[in-house]
Amino acid sequence: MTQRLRNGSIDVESPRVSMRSSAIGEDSELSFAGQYLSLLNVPENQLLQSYKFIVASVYTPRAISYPSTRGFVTKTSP
Amino acid sequence: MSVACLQMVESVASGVLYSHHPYNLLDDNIIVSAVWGLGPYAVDGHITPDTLVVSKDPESVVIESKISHKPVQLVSNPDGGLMEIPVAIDRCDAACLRPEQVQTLAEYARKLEEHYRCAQDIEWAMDPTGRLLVLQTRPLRVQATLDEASEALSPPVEGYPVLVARGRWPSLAWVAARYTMCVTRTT
Repeated sequence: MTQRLRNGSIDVESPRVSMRSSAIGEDSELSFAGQYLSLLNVPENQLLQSYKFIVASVYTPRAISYPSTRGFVTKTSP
Repeated sequence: MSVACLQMVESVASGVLYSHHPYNLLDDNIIVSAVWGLGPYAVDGHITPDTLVVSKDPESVVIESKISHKPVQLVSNPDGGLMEIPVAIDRCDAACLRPEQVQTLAEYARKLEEHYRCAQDIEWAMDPTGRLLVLQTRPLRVQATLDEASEALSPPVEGYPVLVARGRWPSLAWVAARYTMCVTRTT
């Protein structure tokens, strides 16, 4: 995976990326705006760790409670 | 869950664009907010952003302009992640956007709303060369509150008294207020 990320990375000396969630259900009935983690200025050696943090952000108390406090029940994780 | 990896933009200024007022249905003006540096401070309440209200039709005219005090900004840390630094003293109380840049952003908002056929919640950034970039656009959920303005839009149905109104989220009352104005027949 690291290799694939490298292949897609931009050709500069020290590429930095912005990593943002894109989840199923985002912008459907509920916006989910700001519910999941975004990480800015991620260097190459922190890509995988940052990816894990963002995927794990689906399970923060805030993100889990978001649909239910708005009258929705979700059984599937985004 | 997918994670999008996008080229980092070292924003000198950034913010949010609403192509419509976020909770007043009757207010169809464009709202532009702006802070110095990277975007998180525009949305997390850390800094009060500059806020400009721009009319949508027929031409973009700045109706209201509140330039706030912006003493700090977020920038990229050379080691990765972000760090807060002070804003240069002469820029703390200065507007982040020049008038023609406000016009450009308002034009973006109008075009995006037209393209997606619904109000948009847009993140924008200005790169170090002064280019204005759209980072993201998503449907703006116009949350109609039952204030005077929106009550005027949906007056009570004749012959049906309103039993429940002014629901506020987060609660089931909000759902009730949003989806079913509870009415009962009086006859």
